[in-house]
Amino acid sequence: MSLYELLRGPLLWLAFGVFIGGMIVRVVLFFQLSTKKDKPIYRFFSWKWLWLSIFHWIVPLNETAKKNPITTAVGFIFHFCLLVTPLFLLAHGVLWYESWEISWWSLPETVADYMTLITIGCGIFLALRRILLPYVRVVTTTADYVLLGVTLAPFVTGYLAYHQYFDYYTVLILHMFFGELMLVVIPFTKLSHFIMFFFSRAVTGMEFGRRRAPSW
Amino acid sequence: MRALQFEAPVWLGRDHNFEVVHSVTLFAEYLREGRIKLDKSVFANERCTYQDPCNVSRNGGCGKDAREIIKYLCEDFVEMEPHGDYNFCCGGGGGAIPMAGAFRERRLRSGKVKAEQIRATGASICITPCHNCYDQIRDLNKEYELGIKVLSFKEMFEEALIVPEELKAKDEDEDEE
Amino acid sequence: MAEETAFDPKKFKEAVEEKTNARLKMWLEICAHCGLCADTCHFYLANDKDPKMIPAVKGKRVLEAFKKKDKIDEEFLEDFYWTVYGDCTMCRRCTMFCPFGIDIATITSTGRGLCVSQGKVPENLVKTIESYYKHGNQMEVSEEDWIDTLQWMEEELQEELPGATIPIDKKGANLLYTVNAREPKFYPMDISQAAMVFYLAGEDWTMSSKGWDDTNLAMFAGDLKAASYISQLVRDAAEELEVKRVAITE
Repeated sequence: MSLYELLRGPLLWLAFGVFIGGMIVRVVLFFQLSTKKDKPIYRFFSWKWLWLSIFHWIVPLNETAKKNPITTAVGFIFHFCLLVTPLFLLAHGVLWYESWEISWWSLPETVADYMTLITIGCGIFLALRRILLPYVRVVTTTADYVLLGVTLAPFVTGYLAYHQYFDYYTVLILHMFFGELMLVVIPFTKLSHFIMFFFSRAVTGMEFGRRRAPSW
Repeated sequence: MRALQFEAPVWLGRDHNFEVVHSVTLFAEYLREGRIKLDKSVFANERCTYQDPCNVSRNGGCGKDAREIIKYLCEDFVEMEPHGDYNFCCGGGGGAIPMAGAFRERRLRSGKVKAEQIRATGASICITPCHNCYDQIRDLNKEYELGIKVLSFKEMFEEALIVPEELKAKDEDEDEE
Repeated sequence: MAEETAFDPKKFKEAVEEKTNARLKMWLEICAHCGLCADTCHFYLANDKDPKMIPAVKGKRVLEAFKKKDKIDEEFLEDFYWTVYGDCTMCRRCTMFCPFGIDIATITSTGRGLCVSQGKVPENLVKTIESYYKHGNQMEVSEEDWIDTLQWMEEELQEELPGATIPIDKKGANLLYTVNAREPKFYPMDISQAAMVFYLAGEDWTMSSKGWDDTNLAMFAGDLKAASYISQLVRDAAEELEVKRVAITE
């Protein structure tokens, strides 16, 4: 089995398995522990404050956005491109079709290309922010840089592969490797915020809400 | 306030069978319903500002009620920036006032933000409906030489409440030497 | 009650295990270290942007404590104690600016709870907690002094308003008015001022001879057992008097 076949086959399965399974376990553990130890969440449960809290931070409509417009804009665009680009990339769509015969809408290739560059640009901004702003530097750990690297690596290699810079095969292998690596680390690191964000916002939104105060 | 209304039902495992209401909300209610009346001219020559206590505004939801009272009470009212739910803590919260001792210095230092906020309003009266804020801002007043008066709503009411003639004590009966 | 416990890593571990909950675990893990909380904190701003005062950094100290469990040493505990009691007033401002809504106040409060397990609570807070247990209020005001103060304030008030009263333990009243124990101790006029408002508003109100202190310093101390006890005092008073509402002083 070639390296390509390995990454395209069993390792991809493994990556998706760890990613999806890991996140399910995270969510189950949250419910398991919280029903025992976090009773106020359920007692003061409120859909209204749950959605308001999530809504005001998904579309940046909050005081932080007013106070830090640039960081908010970059953060918003970064996350948007991070999710949309890989999901709606034509080349990825072809792979889904090959394997499962399923297909969905995809982005025009030039748009996806720009979005990749934007993602990388935003990532560099976030890294610079960590390096240059003293109050961000002191809270930054090595893990923060490593995880930012792991997140950006699939985009950098993907860009190189699309434009066939360097040795295509090597770049492609690296692209697949980093993509899978990113999926695998999500459940075990702060990147789990991609799901836990909703839980955290919900509990805080309800806690503020029952005091008639906004959490945004 | 925060303890009884919001935390106690959690600690004690069930809701209260009575309603908990903060004075600020209650006073606003009285004014709204016309049960008490205030003479706005009493503080007409003073510029007022309002300190939102963390556990009354942000964690107690009474910020709007306080603004409503102020409309009946002050002619010249200036908000601190930021204010309401986004207000800064005065530094006296979380038990910082009663901790006293070695914590005092930290408390006064952390109040610098509040002192500057108050100074920026140019107010002569800082209203606050919280004993922690009240004591802290009085200390800040001295420490940072703000030259303000710190008052609770009740203290201002005492001077501004309109008392119907028939309820007043008869002046001529009182011979105060 | 926060009894005098010596440094005891085992108890610390027990406290960590007892206090671990899903929210804390989540918050301590997902913090993205974005630094947006830094300048929302008055401690950070007032202390020349001392990095130690950044809410995320303070949260991290609690995380360390959670990781260390029984491997804590006295030096760590000392530093930890000053962080959770001296560098955060649990005002929750930073939470409003945190994209994830991480509740540093709850984290700090949990940190204080860990200190309680070591008997490491600011001396003056311990005194107030003892007073709550003994006298039902934080300022060691005896029931006799309390009633005296109320009667004295009633007399003062009647000089201005002859019809005004300060009802005590009036069953079935609409409103029970509770105060901060600093009032009878240092600011008794607060009570007559409130009475004046209630009188003019025609409120059917009462004060209670017991459970009249609405403060709860045990909450700030992080001693939730004592905090529950204290709020039970007020609840008992309200239920005993069958009031519809309990008002809390300014």
